Amino acid sequence: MNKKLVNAVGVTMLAGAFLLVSHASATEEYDVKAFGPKNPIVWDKPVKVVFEHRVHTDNAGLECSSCHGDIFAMQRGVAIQTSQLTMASLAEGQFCGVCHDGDTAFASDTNCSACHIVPDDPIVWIKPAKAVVFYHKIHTDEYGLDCDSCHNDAFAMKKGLAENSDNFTMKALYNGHYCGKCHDGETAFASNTLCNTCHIGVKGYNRMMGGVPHADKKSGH
Amino acid sequence: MANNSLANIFAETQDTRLATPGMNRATIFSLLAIVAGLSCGVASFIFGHEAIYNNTREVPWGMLISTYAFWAITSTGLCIYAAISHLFGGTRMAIVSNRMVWMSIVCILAAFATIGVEIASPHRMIIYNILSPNPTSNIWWMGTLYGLAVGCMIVEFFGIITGLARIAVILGTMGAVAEILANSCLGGVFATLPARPYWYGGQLPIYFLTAAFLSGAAATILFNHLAYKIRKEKMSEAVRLGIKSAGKAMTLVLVLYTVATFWRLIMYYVGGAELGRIAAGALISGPLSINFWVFEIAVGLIVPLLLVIFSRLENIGMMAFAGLLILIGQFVARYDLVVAGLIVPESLGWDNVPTYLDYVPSIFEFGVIIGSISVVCFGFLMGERVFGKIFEQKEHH
Amino acid sequence: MNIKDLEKEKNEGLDLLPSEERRKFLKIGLAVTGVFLGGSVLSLTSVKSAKGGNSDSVIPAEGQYPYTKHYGMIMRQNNCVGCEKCVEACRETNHVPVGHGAWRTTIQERLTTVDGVEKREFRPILCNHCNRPPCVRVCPTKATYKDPETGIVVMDYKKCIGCKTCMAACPYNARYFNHDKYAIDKCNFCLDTRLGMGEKETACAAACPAKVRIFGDIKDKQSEIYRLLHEPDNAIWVLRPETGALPNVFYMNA
Repeated sequence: MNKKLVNAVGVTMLAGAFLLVSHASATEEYDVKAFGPKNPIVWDKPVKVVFEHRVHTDNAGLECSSCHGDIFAMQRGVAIQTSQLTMASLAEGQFCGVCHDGDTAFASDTNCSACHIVPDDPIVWIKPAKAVVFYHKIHTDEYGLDCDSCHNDAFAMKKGLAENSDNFTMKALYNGHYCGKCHDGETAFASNTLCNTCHIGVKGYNRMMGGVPHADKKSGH
Repeated sequence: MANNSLANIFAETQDTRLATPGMNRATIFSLLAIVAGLSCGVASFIFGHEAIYNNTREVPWGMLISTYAFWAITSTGLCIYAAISHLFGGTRMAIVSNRMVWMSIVCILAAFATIGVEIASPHRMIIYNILSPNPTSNIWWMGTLYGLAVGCMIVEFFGIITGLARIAVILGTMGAVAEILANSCLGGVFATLPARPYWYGGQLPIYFLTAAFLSGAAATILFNHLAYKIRKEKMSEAVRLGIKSAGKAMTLVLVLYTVATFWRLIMYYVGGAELGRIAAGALISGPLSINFWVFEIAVGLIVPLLLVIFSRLENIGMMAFAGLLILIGQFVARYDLVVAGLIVPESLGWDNVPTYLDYVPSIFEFGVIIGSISVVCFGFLMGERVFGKIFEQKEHH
Repeated sequence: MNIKDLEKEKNEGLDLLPSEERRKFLKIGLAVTGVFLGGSVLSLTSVKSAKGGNSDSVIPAEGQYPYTKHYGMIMRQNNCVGCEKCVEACRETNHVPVGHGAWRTTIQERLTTVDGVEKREFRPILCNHCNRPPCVRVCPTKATYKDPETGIVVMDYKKCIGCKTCMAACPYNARYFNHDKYAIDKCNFCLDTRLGMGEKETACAAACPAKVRIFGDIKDKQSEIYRLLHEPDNAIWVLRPETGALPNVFYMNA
């Protein structure tokens, strides 16, 4: 009985190792001509987006000409320079939206994290009060939220929109806007409690930015 | 006429044996060092105290205040021994009491010079100490009483050189009383601050007075030894006996002071305010521990005690060296006392403050200290040269 | 009168002696000892009728305010988010220089880890305008004093000799050397810059977005500070009560 188990495990492991090796050899033989560039394309503007050629060619079976020519130019950076590469234009069926329309491939207003990277760095708001931090990772990884849990209902996708609004206040939060949509005391801790979970103050901000905590550092402490 | 009589007085008091090139060079050198020290102090008025001295909001006092305290305490000690000798006559130290009165004046002037450049606006002090006195302020009493003391002692000294014994005794007594009270108020400046647990408490004024008796005896032995050294002469038997008396007093107070130091530090470890304990820790094992163990304890207390024992109160040179070590120990002890009280941050636990704040005296502060030491050197040399003869006189009454 | 006759007189007893007489007698004694003891004895009576509350309370007792108005501040400490708008407002209103540790009010921060979770606390501090102010007692020239109208600890800059004893004496690190004035400077609850101009609040209290700083006359029963101080459920504390300075800046958690 025991021997059988050991044998079974041994065989499985051997098979696994063989598979790994064969997989490794397959990557070595990656055909750039057939599958396009090996490394993913990373757009920084307007926000960080990752595109993998291989997912579309090797996995989905598209040809280079499926996209290149009409939808995307062959040269690097052309799409960005048009300033048209936005979610709005995708929804109108341009760029990725040609296929990502819900029929050919998943719609561009779903499955955000397939292309969008959840930022590692916190968002640090300095208006109206310095300073408030927000970590995407904690909300997605630890609390399992999706992008559309907040976007575009509580927060628009556009960077800086909330911060530059006159309404981005604790009062608005208490009325269920912005963070207050969940931070109401039921879904998540109420926004009039645990202030310093998000508020890091000027000192916390300066530390985060690596600056000097105070203008008068020398004798301040 | 007046000039003539003054000239006559100096003719009788000056010691022409000391009109040597070596003496002149030493005098001029100490005068130059005073000028250098003064320049460091004056720089603070030009460039701003906060820029020249390394004091901060959290550590507002430093080496200048501690040095002021050191000279003031030494002056008190010298003055008390001189007054006791003058008043009761019979003591053996009476024979050197005139020199002690002079050196007491010199030491208090060195103290004034130091605090004069430490205070941001001494001109306001001159005006408002008189126009707007605060009777609850220890520092007001301290300044006023030390001022009174130096006035009394200068008149006393005038009485000594002109042979007006009665004036000298009365003013000497008044001066000594003023010095004791001033010393007590100096202790009070620190002792009455509950914000600084390391200073707060009734022991400190007594501790300062004990330090005065210690420094006074040490300075008496040292300066008398030097006075004979620069003349290359041997002490008369009477002077030797006087110095031996001072040596006995020094030994006794050395023991008292050691006991006081011991209990003073033990106190912080049996309870009480945390800041006091942390401040004591600065001496025991913190940033001031070398100062404390090496200079305060070893150099300032243990080695002198051993030297005095080995000298059997016979070897004046060895005792004078012990006196010098005691003065060095006392100088460092005052520094440690002032600094330890302040480098423990009141905001401990907040803002990630270190347990001990940084304080290292600036080069200007060291300059002022060298200047103040030079004031004492210059005063000593000038005293010996100009009044040398009366320093060797028997009692003037 | 014959001494023997005196013996026959009835003992009046101390109780019957008018208190004024007794006080006069005591005053003579005090004057004699007081002159010598100078600083130490008189210091205990620098603000004569100001008292703390009970031995276990930091709130001033009813009817114990010697000033026409008695200004104070209560901090709702856990509401502070460290935005330092108060610090900026103070600097601007009171022309507080930058550098060399110059501030009249500041926000302290404390980071602790509780059960693996980082906890952040902010604490605003400023001059506590104590009822028994150590700084006022030690000043040799009365350059700093309690304003008889408001109980605010103020500076008379021209009298300040810069001995820095008040800085050493202050339990709250509330004082700094102001190079521009060449004197010690401190918070005065905006007495000259706002209260004197008819404003009801200090600059820091007005600037606070979280209503942390509640400023007012603690004698005024209509004031919010009075209400907060005397709310039975409020746990009120002061900083460094052991120094006996009887501060007028209080702390609570909202």
